[in-house]
Amino acid sequence: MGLNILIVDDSATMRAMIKHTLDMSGVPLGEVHEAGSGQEGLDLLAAAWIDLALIDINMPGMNGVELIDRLRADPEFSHIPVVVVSAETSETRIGTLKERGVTVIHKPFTPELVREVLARLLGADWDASP
Amino acid sequence: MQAPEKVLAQVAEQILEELAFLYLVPCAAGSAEPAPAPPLVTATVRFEGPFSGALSVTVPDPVLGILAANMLGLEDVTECSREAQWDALGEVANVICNNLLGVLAGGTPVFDLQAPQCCEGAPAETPAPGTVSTRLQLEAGTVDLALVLETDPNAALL
Repeated sequence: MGLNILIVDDSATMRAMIKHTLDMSGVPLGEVHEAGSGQEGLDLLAAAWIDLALIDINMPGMNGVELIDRLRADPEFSHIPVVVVSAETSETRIGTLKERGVTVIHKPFTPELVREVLARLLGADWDASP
Repeated sequence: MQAPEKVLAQVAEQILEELAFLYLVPCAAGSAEPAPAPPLVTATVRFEGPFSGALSVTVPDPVLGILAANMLGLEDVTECSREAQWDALGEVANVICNNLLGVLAGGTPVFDLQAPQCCEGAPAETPAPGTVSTRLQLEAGTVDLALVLETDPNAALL
């Protein structure tokens, strides 16, 4: 059974790129949901079963850090693995994200990197060929 | 700290290749790259941190269309709306800026980046003091990049 994934990024281009990369990665996919803001992400989480969330950090309104904190504080969502997809390079800021129990994928990224990170995070052993 | 001009060119080349699948063409020795041909579009990202400034990426319309289509996985450039083209260029500028600051400042300092702003045209012809710029000749056309440093990075990072 495929993974239901939530992509939260204010850039429609980046959401499309992440979705395309997931398609190419060989990760077994179920439904892929897209949200353009933190609040939209929360609304989707309440409406659909999500196995994994891919979240951008710099977003207007509720940013990625606030969204992660809301997820971690909610018993219904706190178990959901979160991957931050960001161009952030500051080890200081990446460190504060990792303290929240998230994994970080740096932009730009490849399908191979996405598959490797998700497999490690979920303890999966997917075939490398899409 | 490495020379900002050199770092700007290296980082921009890498990101344009890996994010937008746009590749540099080698130029003949001594020949200057042609200026981007109008109409132009510019995406600018402002940043604040140990040192502050802005990064601008300026591309001609045809390059913008190809850049956006590549990022969105579209074969036909005309399928891409103007809004999507601006969003794609803004994302490229954002990723270049983040990666550039990481190389210039090292891994520890924290910078706050504003959302990319896109506009028709090129930045002011007379660059602000502290501006470093580079011009990249891609297969699709020419790209100009300008990094405005409002404070001296070397002094700020001492």
